[in-house]
Amino acid sequence: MNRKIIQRDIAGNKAVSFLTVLFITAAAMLLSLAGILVTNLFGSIDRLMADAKTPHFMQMHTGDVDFEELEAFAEGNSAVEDFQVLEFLNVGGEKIRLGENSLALSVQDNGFSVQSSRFDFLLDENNRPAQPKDGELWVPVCYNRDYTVQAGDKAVINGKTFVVTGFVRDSQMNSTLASSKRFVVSAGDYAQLKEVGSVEYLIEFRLKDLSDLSEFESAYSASQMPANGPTLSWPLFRMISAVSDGIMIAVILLVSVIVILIALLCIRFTLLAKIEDDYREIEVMKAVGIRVSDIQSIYLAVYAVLAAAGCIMGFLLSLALRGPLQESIRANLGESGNDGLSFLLGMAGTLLLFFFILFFIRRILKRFRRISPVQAIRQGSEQENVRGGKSLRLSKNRWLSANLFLAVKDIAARKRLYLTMLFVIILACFIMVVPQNLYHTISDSSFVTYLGVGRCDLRMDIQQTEELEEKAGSVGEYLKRDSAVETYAVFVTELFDQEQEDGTTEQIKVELGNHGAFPLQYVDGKLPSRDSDIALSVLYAEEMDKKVGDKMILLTDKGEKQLTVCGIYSDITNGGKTAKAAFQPGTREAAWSTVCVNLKQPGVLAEKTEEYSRKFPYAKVSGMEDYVTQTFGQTLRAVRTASVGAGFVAVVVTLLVILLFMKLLTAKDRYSIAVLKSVGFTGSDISRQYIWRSVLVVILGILLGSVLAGTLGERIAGAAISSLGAAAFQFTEDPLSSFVLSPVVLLFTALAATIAGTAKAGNLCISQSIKE
Amino acid sequence: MEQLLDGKEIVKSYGEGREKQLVLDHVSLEMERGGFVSVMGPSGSGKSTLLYTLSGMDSDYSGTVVFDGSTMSGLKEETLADLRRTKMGFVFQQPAFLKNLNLLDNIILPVMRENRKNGKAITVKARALMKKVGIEGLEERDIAQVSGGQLQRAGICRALMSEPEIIFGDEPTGALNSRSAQEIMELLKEINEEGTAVLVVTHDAKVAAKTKRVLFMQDGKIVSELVFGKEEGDDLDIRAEKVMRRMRQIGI
Repeated sequence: MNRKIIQRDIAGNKAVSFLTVLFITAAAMLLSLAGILVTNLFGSIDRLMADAKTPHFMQMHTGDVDFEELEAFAEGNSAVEDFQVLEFLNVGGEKIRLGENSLALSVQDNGFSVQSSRFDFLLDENNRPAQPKDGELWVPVCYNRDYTVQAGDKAVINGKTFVVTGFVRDSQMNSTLASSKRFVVSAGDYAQLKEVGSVEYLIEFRLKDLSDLSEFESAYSASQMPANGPTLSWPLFRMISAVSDGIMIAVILLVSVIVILIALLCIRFTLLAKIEDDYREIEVMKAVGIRVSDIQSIYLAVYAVLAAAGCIMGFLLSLALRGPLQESIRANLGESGNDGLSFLLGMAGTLLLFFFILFFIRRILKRFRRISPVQAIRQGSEQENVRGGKSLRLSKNRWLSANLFLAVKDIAARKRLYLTMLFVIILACFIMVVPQNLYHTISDSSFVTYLGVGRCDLRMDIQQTEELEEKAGSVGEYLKRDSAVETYAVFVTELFDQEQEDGTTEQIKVELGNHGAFPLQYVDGKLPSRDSDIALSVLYAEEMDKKVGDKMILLTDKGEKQLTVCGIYSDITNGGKTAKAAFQPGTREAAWSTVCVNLKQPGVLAEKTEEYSRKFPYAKVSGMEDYVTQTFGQTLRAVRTASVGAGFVAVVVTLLVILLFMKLLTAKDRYSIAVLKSVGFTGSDISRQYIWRSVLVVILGILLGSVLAGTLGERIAGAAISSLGAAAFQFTEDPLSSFVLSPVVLLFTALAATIAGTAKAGNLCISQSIKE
Repeated sequence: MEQLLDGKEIVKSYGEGREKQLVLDHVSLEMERGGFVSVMGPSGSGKSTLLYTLSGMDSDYSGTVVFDGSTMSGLKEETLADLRRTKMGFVFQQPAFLKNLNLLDNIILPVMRENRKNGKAITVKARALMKKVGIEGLEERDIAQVSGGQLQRAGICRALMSEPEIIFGDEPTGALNSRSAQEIMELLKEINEEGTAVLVVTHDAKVAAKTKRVLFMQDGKIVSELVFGKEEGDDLDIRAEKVMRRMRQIGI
């Protein structure tokens, strides 16, 4: 019998059943997709790092290396399993031509290596170490992903021609967020290229046990081993690989949670409307002795069928859709080998959703017990709560049209009814605006200041060169005389020994210069301005356990220097461990230098970039915008895809929910509509009233949704951004899209849905409806 | 006397094919300005359908209905609504009110649609009408807080607000006890005497006895007509007896 009831019920409410299934399908699909993508992402990263034998600890170093000393250190440290020093030949982008494209404008440090023999392999598409023959070039996979070059293209490096044979995945530097890119050539070609660039050493260690990493890091830092360059370690490699696709997954997860909420709200609303419709029948069933639990199970069965259909379709859809979304993970990081697990996790998520929906419906059905026979027979339907809005009187109203007045009055009187719609609009607004704000924030030129980079028009990096300070000084002199320059600042990074509490010393890189010229975002405190100030990056401050106001001692060539921590900032450059101070550089050799420039006319940027590159061949000159697009491009693209997707979801959800809501509402309001028509209100009056109701609720929803997006949304986005290394975070909103375009799109969607949903509301038969 | 309402050869049916059921079978009816007519008949005889057809609430029929000079079947839905609001008043068996408005607001609702600027005058008029029908003091009450008789009076007030040409009553006393029913009919009679035409549908002989002319319906047709003259005078019992006799004669 149940089967017939279920079939009849679903067929009898086609629109409602269809929309319910649709929402459950969407929720199940997104949840399952998030599960599948997460397992694949981490599976791929783990597999890539295992196949590549990624070093656990790596010190980049420019300058001489004493191999024997390093060997002795490695042998003396019991944690070390394996150790090697690789060469990385840094070559200026202007000397590299891939197919039709030059890398002259690339902000990456492009360089050449031979395949390693022991660990840290650069892998081909099958995760095997690439083995180029003479004349063959293996290119980092990101240059294939951004369509710079295809396999089989010609490549010219400083006049020498290569054939691009394949693309390599680099378990350390794959992401565009990592600033270096390694090309692989044969040993013979490498020897020929050597004079084109400057050699940087990658001093790499694999440990027996990864848990000894932080101890090893301290030991390395405390020793006098080479350390002229960034220090990087396993967790950072893993994180950098995960970020770009991770943000996309986070957005999918956020949207799926919201779609689930919307699905539940819709189920609640339609189920309550149905219970109200069936009020008398339920009472008759109770009266003839059918148990409440039996009646409940009929309703539960109907929704179980809908939920099961939605979950199955959602899961199948997620399997169909995972391909394109997995594509970027697969291309960058390779196969995960987790297909079985991801399938299971996707299914588990779907099942969890199914049981959660059933649990939720059971809770709603509890109200059956509250239906009293007397109430049912006397009133014929559940008494609606129409208590609100008493103070609104038509007889006192002079300002609102009768239709608008009735709309306001109805909303005030039946607040609970409109809450469902309000919540849906708030959520729709939220998922529309938050990813948009996130995208806008990351793409804004000041976003870099959250990441340890000052905001300027162009920057010059002077690294791995002799007489670095003199060169930096001459750049400064040139800029001083250049009339196109508005402001500039020269920063010099030096290595200092820092005295620990236990008397030992550790090396610390401190960037010296006028930090007020191009300020960063400080999480705490302010930038260093006095001679005794020092500011630390979040990672350094955590590692050293320092807060603003704490003291620390550096050993300079003039003796001990006592400094006070004046501020803490977030930074992802140079492994995230940096410090900034304002005192005068000493006589020791600088590690590297950075020059930031603001131009009077932004229009001359390209011209100036070219001029400085020509004038200072030892400096890498890049426009800040290029720097941002090239560094965050991959992440930006993922966030943009997600924000377009989320906006689309918001519009579809708004359209469907309001359509459903209006259909149910006009069915519920048949009597009131008949009364209004009988006293001479026209069909368009009735439509107008519903449009007003909808518009008022939607506007309130958009207002609340925008506030929520700016507060809670900012926090959620902040959490996502902090995975990029930015600790302090505030939305940079695009007022046009956040406060004008998105609300207008939502409002028009709601309006279209309301008009479509209420078009036939006035067409009822007065005589029939008024007797109900 | 000038004609107000003229229905000719009205045919209306429900359902399709075999289940098709003829509800109005070539019904013709005329009514003059200021007339007071009742339509009597058993349940299912088509009398309520006739009322809704004549008042333009139901437009799915064949035949013609001319109201106040305009042919209703040719009018747009919006024009029909305007007619209902400005020239017609309705009193239903179950008082039809919006639950979330109080009594006063329900009464002034139709006229406030386009005259909100005159709200003060409208309210004064509504209060006067409420006083006239004996429900003064109930203005702020919710519709669930007053009796059926009081609601029906409020319904009449609402119908009178636009000073209509005609009031249609669909069993206006059907849900009331006999005392309230007589009071309501007395009220309708007074309204008629002031010049408003009244057309009521009823199955109560005493209600029909209050009107000037009674039409009897059976199986979708008007089968008989009774016009009260000087011989019956105002004696309600004699009039009612005459209605009952006629009903027996035609077998309803």
